[in-house]
Amino acid sequence: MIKLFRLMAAALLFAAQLAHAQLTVEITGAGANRIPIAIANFAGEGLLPQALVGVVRADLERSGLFKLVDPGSSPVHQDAAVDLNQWKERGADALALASILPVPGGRYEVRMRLYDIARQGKPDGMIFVFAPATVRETGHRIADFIYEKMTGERGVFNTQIAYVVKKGTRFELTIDDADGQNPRIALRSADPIISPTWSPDGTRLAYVSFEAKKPIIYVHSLTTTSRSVVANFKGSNSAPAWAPDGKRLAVVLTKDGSSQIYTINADGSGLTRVAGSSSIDTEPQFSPDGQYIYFTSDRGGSPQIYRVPASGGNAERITFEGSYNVTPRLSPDGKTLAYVSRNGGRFQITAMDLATRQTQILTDSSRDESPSFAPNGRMILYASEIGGRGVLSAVSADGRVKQKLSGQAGGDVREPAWGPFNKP
Amino acid sequence: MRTHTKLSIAALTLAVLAGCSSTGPEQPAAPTEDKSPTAPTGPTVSPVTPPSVDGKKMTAEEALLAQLKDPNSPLSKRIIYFDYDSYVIKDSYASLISAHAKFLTANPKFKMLIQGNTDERGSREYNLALGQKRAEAVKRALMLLGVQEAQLESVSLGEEKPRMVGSDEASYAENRRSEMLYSGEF
Amino acid sequence: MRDFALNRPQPGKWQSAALAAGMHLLLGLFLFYSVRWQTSQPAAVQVELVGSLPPIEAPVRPPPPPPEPVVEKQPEPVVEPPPPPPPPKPDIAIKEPPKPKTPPKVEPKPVPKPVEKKPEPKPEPKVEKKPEPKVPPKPDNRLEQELQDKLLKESLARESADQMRRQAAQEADLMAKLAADGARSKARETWAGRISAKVKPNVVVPPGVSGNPEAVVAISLLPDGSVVGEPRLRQSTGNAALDAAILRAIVKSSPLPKPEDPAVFERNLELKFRPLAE
Repeated sequence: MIKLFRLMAAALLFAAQLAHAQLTVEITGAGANRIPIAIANFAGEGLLPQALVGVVRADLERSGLFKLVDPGSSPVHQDAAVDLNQWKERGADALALASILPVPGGRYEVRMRLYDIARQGKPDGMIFVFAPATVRETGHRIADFIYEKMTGERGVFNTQIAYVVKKGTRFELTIDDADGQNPRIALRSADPIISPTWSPDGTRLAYVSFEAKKPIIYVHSLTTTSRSVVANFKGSNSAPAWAPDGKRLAVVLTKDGSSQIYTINADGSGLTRVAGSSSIDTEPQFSPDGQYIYFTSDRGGSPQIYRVPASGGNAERITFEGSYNVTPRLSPDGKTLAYVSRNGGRFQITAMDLATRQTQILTDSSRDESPSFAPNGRMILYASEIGGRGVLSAVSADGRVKQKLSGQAGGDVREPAWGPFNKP
Repeated sequence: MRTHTKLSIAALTLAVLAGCSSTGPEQPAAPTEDKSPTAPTGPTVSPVTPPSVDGKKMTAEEALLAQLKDPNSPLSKRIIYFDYDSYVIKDSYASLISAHAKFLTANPKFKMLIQGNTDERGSREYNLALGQKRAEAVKRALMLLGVQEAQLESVSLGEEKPRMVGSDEASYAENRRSEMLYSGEF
Repeated sequence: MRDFALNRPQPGKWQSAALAAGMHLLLGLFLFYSVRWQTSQPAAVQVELVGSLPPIEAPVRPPPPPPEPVVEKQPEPVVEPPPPPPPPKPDIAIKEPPKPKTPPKVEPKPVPKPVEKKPEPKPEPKVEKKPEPKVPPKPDNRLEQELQDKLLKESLARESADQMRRQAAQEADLMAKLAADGARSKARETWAGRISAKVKPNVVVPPGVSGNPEAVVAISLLPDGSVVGEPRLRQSTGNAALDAAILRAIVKSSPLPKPEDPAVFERNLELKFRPLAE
């Protein structure tokens, strides 16, 4: 009786389930981390003084988010008929085509099309006119376009980085493209240069120079190549950091005793004390919204990171793990704090999510310093040491992608700073 | 050596007292025992001509500077070393500081630049601040012994000017220091 | 003397008659429907007993899905447990005599009816006993009574034997159905697994995605497994680049693997993605 009863109930239930006949497939997890993309040789590239497609391919591959699929050796016109299924067979998720034409005035025009297999033959496109001297920059712009369409993030291939190279006993403040090419020297000196930092509009660099036998802060215009002294008070003047409005800087002066944080106008006027303590306060950094100044302080007995409202107030401690946390750097969206932590004697780049205060050590080396965020917040540039020599490396903010930047031949590279987005 | 020092100081004091009102350097040396030191062999360059050995007249200033470089004089020792992450002056340096304090209080026209340094480990800017602390510690110690603040400036070179370029403990120890430089040396 | 009362005309004579008839009709209707409402009250279904059985799906035919929900809703109220236990008893008591004869007709009909049988096995033995004392009119003749008792017992025995045969047949039927559906559902699961295994490695998660985002995509297939038309995003992950990556993975995986048993093939599938889950 009970058995029948049960079966009846079962019969009822599976009759009830007839309404949910559709099969649902659950897919948990994902596959590779890199989008396979084919970039066909550009039609008309022979007109250009320099290779263009190579710049695009190298940028996308270096980002660690793309995998290059062999496109074959023939150039393909950007408006050629495309059989997406064929490219799909070759394993490509996306296809980029471009054609280059001369235009009046000795310049060139590149027309580019980007096909995405998920969009069934409705490509994205861009047109750009450029002078022959800016072939590399154009390649970076194309790579940025592709990067943004496929990942949803703005690309940083068309940006600059600044750093200091020590060659023997001489020092050079150098600026080059994010891919390490096209270096330009802003300052040569027989004495150390440290802490270069870009103004928010990318036209000036503030830095500390020891050429007068003591540390002095300068602001150097990249457009006029002239510079002025911002702070030369008694004692040491260092650690410049631009406010988001580009008009003021936070600086560290020892004129009143130990290292303390002040703000000052870019022309050297208007000195104001920010926080007062009898301990070391240094390495100030404005938050991107200008509300806070993050800094390093040993007021608690060991160097840790704190923040204080930019208009003044009480300092709040931010780092609590470990006995040495220095060099705070904020991501452009203000959500992540990167810094250097000493773990068992090893100095490593660490990231903290400011909302959850969860930390993650991003690097595996032992002599890492000077983290600097890319303007899209995706990569962190930093100085490291390999074989006793200073080199530049980069790691993604989630630790997934690691890059070694090709070092300057015969030099000890340090103090990197990633510049802002270039004006479009 | 101590007697030497005492006599030199006495001689110098007399010389200074004799010419205290004028600003000119030209003053005859004291007629008493003129134990001039031998030619200086300091590492830093100095524009002062070395005094001759036996009894020739030299300026008071020259004599003072010569003394600063006399390897037999504690004043030629200019470096105070520190422990890792520390800016505390160890007791063993008390007499050195005392000697320099005496010189400076006796010669208020002499200025001193104190440069603090660190080893290469860690952030450059934090090391700049730590070096500053090391320089400050020496400056405060001298002031406690009567030296005028106007005579002293403390700056930091951070990790930028190491004495030894190695990545081992011995090099690090050699770089964690404060250096005292007198006028003319910086 | 003339009686004014008798000669006076009565106004509204027809109206009151109509009203009276109407009220009688209403009462009749009320009685009729109240009884009907009471008689349609269902017996309880204990769903928790079914929890251990595997999910069973009837074979899929393209047209049936729409009408099925309609069919299903009918028994739903039937499934509800009746609050007062007493009412069913008198109902069953009323129905009892005709009932043992009607079940054979009830079986081939759709599912709802068997439910009504459930409480019956229980009260049946009890209720059946009732007619025992009732049915035989009190015979004075003892022999007659004994004969009638014997006849009754025989008919009851026949009834229960029939019942048991019917039950066994039903059980066998259901078991076969369960087995067939079990096999089919397993085949379906295997097919779903193969689809997942092909699509998952093609999902490339873009940078900056965190948490546990979920997407649901509806696709249509041709019998060879190829995805026809564009996959339709029913639920977004909230990140446009991740949505695009998921759609890309589906297109890239086309044609999807076919099921081993062609009967299991379905034209319309729903794919649920959780790319950051383990």
